[in-house]
Amino acid sequence: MAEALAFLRLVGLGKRFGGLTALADVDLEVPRQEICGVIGPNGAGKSTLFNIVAGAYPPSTGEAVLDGTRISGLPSHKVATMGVARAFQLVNLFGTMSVAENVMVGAERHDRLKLWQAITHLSGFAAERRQAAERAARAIELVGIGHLAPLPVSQITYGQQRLVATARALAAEPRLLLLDEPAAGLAGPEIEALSAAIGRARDAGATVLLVEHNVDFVMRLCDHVAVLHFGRKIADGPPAAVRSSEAVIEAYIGR
Amino acid sequence: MKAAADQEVRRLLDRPSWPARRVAVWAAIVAVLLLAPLVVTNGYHLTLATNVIVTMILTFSLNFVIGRIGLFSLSHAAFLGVGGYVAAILAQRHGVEPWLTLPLAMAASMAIAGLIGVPVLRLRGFFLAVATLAFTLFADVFARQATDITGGAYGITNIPPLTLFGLPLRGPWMYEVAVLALLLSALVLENVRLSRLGRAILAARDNEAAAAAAGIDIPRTQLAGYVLSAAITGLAGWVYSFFHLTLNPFVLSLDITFLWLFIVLVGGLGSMRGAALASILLGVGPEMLGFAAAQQVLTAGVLVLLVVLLFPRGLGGLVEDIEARWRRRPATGDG
Repeated sequence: MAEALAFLRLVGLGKRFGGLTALADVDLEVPRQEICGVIGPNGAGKSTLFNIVAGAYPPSTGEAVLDGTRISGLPSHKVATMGVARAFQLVNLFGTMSVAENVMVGAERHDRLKLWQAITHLSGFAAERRQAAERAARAIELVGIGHLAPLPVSQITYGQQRLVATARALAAEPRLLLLDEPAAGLAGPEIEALSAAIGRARDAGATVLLVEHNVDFVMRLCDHVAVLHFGRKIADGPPAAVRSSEAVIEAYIGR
Repeated sequence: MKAAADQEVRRLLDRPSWPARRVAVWAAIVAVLLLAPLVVTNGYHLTLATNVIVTMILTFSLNFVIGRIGLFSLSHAAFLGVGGYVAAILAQRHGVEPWLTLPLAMAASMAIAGLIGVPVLRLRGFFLAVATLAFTLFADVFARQATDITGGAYGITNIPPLTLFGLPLRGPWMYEVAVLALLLSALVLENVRLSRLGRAILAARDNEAAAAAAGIDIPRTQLAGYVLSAAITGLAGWVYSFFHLTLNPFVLSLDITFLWLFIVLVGGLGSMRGAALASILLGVGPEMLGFAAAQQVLTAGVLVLLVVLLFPRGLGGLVEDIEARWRRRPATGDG
């Protein structure tokens, strides 16, 4: 048994929707500052796994533990204030805001309301805004969308919107970064920028869990890949080992 | 090159909330409002102006709830009634110093908003509108029937006026108090808009899932905004009571609720300037044309139709478009 427990541990995680078993008995350990990719064919349970970790819904069985604290079953906003940031598969931007403002909301700490501060702009208002603006600016720079910052998100392309969503998650400077198909809809150079940004977020201390369809992207970026098939984990290990696994080849290509 | 872009983004997000230009514009507007009684000496016109200012305080606060928080709530007449009645009853029946009723009136409005907000804000859209409207109807019935407390249909009369250095504040002096209350309300709402809480409120309106994923506790955030709005509405009720020195269930009637709603719609959702313009238009227009109070609602209804057809973003959106054309750059609002 390992001396230190993994940063993110999924233990016997399962989810049933009525009669459908979307996820069954999945164990996964992600060490600190590792990039872990979850891949699998459509309907394999990737998004379900993701939603449980992010607090969108509770698991039917098992639990998700972040740094010794159970996070499964907590509401999304609680999970977020524990240092988990999420970028969605559907972009989910704040449609009436600019690119910069979207990322700013991600950069700000929302764990306390601070009504008095909001009304008076006193008691730490300026310092907190400056710090959040710095985090947001760093994240915007990291994914390379500085030139889009003042634009309304309704006026940029879909690929650019995806990058904004990633920047918004990065801006929180999370301990655990959850990315749901971050490369979907991106062009070649954008994928390069995205890979670099994720790598740098990891170097800055983040642990990354990402779900992705683009197998090449995952194999190049991740330290560790888990494969789901019909809700079960069929492989788990370094990219090279997973790529040559019989079970994986069978799941993807068929017999 | 890279550092320069970085600086640019920082400047974009860390702008001072009150740049000199904005301070100058606000100071000019407040100065004009405060000095108006030097020119407008006609008592009827001053009454009209004071009523418009009370309407502005109320519609700013209603616009914040409907336009910014995105909750279609029709309970503001009740909040105004609670603030007004608490002030009137305490000052007239219990001899409480009139100034001291201000925090009490605002606190009562906030308490009621908190009490109904917890169960009701779970609802959305039409259901929320009906539930909050039901509460306004309840407040109306209560004010009419609980004669021992509220004075029934006749309401509370002979409310003692506010005093300053022993002098009663009437007419133009109460107008000045109303202007100060308007300034306070507008400052608070503008500061909240420019704060982290303001962005969180907008984020929750735009996309609930993404807002929650960013760590925003949506029910708590929206309730805070709702209660804050009720405090401002309570302030409007307090000003109303000490301006008219009489208060009856008229303020709780559905006509008034819908007039305020129409003003918010004509002004444009989320726009404070729009709400101010619409308050003047609908508060002064019908009076000047010699319409009766009942026709005010009718006029407002026709205006709402015209605005929805011609300028979907309301008067506020119209002003924004004109400004944008003036500066020769495209408007930032999205249709």
